[in-house]
Amino acid sequence: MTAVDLEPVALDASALAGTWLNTNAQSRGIVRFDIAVQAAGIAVTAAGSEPWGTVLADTFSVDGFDADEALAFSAVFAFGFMEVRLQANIKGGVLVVAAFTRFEDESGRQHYFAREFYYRSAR
Amino acid sequence: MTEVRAMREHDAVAIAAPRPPIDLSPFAGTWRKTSDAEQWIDRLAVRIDGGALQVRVFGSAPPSPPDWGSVQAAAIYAAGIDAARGMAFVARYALDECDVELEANVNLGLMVTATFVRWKRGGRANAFTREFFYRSET
Repeated sequence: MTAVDLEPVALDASALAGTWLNTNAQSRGIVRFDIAVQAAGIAVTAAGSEPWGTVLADTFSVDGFDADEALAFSAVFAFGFMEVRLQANIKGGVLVVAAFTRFEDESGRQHYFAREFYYRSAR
Repeated sequence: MTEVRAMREHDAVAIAAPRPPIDLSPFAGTWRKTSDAEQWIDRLAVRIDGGALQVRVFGSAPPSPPDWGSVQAAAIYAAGIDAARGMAFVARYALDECDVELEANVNLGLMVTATFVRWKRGGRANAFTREFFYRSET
């Protein structure tokens, strides 16, 4: 079997699944994620001061290219006036989420980077 | 001033338009890996060219190619919604064996560089990496 013939490595995303709450109870950013495993990737539902809806996201290993567990994801929420690119990974039981925000409107608000942390809500 | 739409409380701020340009100088220079061990990326050479950011990546060890080439950053991000100092950027590479989205941010003298690696052929897991780099004088 050549490299071309090999099947894509399927990652077990179950560690990402569940409800994740912001560690900062006073956060004015994204306060909650609900993640569900799909046939391919995961479905990520986010909420800030408004519900963000759900997007499908690709999952990634964090332990190199031979791993079979997904502990990271990349997701993009696009609202027309704003696009938020999420870079998320689990480290030490914490979901670390970097948000790359771009404003596509004329508000003058700057594109900006921010990072927040989330803990898994009791199941 | 335009009425602002927001999906998070901290985005609901009124700022006079137009949006100021982001200061790219925090990114410029050669950034070397903080670890002595082999890793995914060995170093980054970042330069400002005509108001854009050119990012060249050198791999550390296979399967990372030795030289990914230089691309223009796809997006630049400031340190805050009302800030002008550059804090993060995104760059994308189409390599022979994989596509890589590189997302970097500078913090406390470090460049924290994350990549999402998507292999074009099977046999390897798509992977996330996060590595750390310091700004080198040489």
